[in-house]
Amino acid sequence: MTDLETAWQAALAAEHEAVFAYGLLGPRLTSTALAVGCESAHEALRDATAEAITAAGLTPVPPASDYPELYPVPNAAAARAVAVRVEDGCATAWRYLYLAAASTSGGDAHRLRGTAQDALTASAVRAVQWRAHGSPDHVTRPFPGT
Amino acid sequence: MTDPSPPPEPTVPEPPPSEARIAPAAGSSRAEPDQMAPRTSRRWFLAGGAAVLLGGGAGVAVELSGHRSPAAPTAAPAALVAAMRAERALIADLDATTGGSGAVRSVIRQARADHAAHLAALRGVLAGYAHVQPPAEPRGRARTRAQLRAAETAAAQTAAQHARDLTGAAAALLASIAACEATHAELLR
Repeated sequence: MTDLETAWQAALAAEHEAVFAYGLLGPRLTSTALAVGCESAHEALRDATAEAITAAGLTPVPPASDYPELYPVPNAAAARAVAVRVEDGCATAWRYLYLAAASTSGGDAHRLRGTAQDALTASAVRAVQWRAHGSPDHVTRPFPGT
Repeated sequence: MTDPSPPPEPTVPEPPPSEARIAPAAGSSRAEPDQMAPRTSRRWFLAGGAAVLLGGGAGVAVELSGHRSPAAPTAAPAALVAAMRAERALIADLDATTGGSGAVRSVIRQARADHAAHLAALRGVLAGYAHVQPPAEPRGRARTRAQLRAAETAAAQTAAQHARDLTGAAAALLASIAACEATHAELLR
């Protein structure tokens, strides 16, 4: 498997985990609108990524049966912390794909850079939205995905 | 696309040939043969031999240094230079914007710190290339919240475009910077 394929599958694995995580933390939140929006964005990205991987002649990595590192989620604050962690994880995975694509020549690599940039930016924005619920004075990160 | 490999080591131009190897130093006096002959001695032969050896050694040293000399430093990619200038302009505008509510001031503080980190990172990457003449310090203008938001949105899009013009780690750096600037725009909604 090439570095690009490995990074692509890692991005899909991160999206699988994000979808699972939002299903887990949703019931702990008092206001679920943000979580619902995030979950649906990750579901769409997961499906699109799996389809693209399949179209490239590869087998998409399946979701894990469980993600123990996400537990426990006893309350709303813990749920928001999990959401931040998940979004940061997705940003890291998509930035990794961007780097792999930017280090590879070819049409697929060029196209994947656009996808990776959009997904990296979207996860960085969602992470900021979740952090803003906690301490609004420290919500941004200069280099999302690192 | 720009070559993803790091720029080559800085190089030194080949030194000019030693003038001493071509001609005697200007103004040096040279004794006429008929004046030299009577005083020729073994000491003079030894001194002359030493001079020849030293001169030869110097010539070899010059030749070796010439072979070690690398080429001129690579010019910095235009996308990196433009990104650095964009960060300076954003910082100047944020510094010039002194008003705003507490919430906006908080975003300005965070965005200012992020842009400073971007600028430092870009300068670090550019240090590997030929020296880039820094432009005059940009004059910032006080902006409204909506103008700051528009500037951050535009900066995010431009950084993403610059990232596509680069390869490797420099491209990924600009991709991250673009994402960060989009978060500033989000907070300024």
